[in-house]
Amino acid sequence: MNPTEPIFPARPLRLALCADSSPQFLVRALEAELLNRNIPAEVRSWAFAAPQTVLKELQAFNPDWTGLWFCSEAEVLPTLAPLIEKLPGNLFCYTAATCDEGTCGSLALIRPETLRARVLKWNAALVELARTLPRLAVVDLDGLQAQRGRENTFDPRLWAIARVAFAPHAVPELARRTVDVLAARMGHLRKVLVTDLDDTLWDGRIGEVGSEGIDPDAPGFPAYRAWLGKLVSRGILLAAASRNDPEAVQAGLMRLNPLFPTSSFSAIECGWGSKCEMLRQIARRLHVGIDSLVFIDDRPEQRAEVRSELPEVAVPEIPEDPACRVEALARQSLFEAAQITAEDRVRVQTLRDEEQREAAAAACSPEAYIASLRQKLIPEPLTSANVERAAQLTQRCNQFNMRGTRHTAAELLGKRGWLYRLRDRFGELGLISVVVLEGNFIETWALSCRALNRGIEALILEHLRQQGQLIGAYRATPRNTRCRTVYAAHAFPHLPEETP
Amino acid sequence: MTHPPIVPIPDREAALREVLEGVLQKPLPPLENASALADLPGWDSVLHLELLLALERRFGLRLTAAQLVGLHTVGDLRAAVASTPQTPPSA
Repeated sequence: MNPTEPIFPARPLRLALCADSSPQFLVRALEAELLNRNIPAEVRSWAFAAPQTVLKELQAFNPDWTGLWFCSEAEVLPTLAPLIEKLPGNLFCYTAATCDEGTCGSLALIRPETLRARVLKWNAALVELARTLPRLAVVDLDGLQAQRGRENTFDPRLWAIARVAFAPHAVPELARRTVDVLAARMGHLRKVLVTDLDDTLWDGRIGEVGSEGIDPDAPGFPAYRAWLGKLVSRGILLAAASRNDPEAVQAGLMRLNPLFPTSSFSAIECGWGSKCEMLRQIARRLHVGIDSLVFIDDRPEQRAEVRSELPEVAVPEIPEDPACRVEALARQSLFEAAQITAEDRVRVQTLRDEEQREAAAAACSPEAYIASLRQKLIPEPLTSANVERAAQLTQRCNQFNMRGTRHTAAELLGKRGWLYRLRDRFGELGLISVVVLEGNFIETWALSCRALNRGIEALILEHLRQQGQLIGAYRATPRNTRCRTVYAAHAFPHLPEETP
Repeated sequence: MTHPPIVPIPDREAALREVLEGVLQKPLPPLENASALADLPGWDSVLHLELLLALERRFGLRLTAAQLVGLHTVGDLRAAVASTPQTPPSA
């Protein structure tokens, strides 16, 4: 069986769990959770076992998933890579619970031999291994302990009596998160977040007070929108369901531009039908199952209605106080992710590259830093293949958008222009600027803010000088004042400033 | 919880049976003091610990590890439960 493909077992899922403590409470909870989710499964466990000593039995059992649980309290924490090589198929491994023996105060993190330091290092190594090995999933037991507090997840009496490493009343949540991870790998994912608007995305009911009367910046609301933005950027689809007239909804969403653009939404359902009907409609439009939805609404009666009529939809409880909502939502771990993809790996690499760039920047003067980057700008002519990305740049760039122009991909088809790709000595920054021409007039020039302060403008203008007698112009918008002097500063032909 | 649950003395036997049946998920015979917990229908070592934890929650008990290990018979459970508070702690 190819370990990187989703599994749809025709027979009960075989789950093996190998622990160096007594995992019986977890086993029971896993069985209950799998039953709850209608995933027929057979769970076998090995207690007080090192995986290499039970390899033959594991092979005989032939599991679809092998779980590994090394607990901090047993203090073994083996080197994982050689161990994992011996274990075939899909694996999941729990992070070890952070614990401090209290033997050297604040030096516990610094001295490498303490349990505190060893657990930190072991967890980091586990995470690093999982980044490179698609068949290994990590279940964050340590994260759950951090949310609940160790006094709620570790009962020292049970450790002393029976070597039980995780408190039984917290085990069901650990089981739920474990099954979430497995289910995600099998393709059962929550893919869409449907949010209510009034008193959820903004403070106030727009039907009553109009788009001027709502307050998008009341405490908690910007944080909620920022959280939604993070979900969108990691691939979750965002939808809105609102009992309001479409005009009111549009007016409200316009007020959130450009920090929270309307284009963030993949579907917007409004009107006076039931929320349940809106959710069904959203699932249809986005071609997802109703069980892919998470529904967030500030009104308890709306939540109850959806829970009762559409039990497959995840409807988290959220506190009445908007300022407490993101914290509460984050704790519920609503969105499990499927196996790490090639794009994710690129993103991880990109983050590493960024860290290296920042370190280099800290070391010297701006000019020396820019020179040291050894930047390379690669122009790519606008084609039907890259026109989507070009349009995105015009929609998203505000600080450096020379005339404040915005285009759709359709508008850019057939136009003459270039997308610019940036590389430096640390890595690939991707497509960071777009120029669109009308005849020999530079009708659009947008530059991504992550490419600012690097002397890129000079490189782009250098390229444009070689394309014939081009001429540009600046048109002021509320955000683009930094563009006003760019053409002049680089002695590039330009018309007088346009009146907006 | 501001203070642990108080189970009035007349209700304790019923509460004890409720906890046992809830954890073991089986109807139980009359509970003699001498009956070993290990002989109860459906018992296993995991349920034994679950049983004791459920008892703690229901009666507001906090047993030490040594006490947990020492509970073997129904009579032991009755004795542990009998020691729980009979009146709410003074404010």
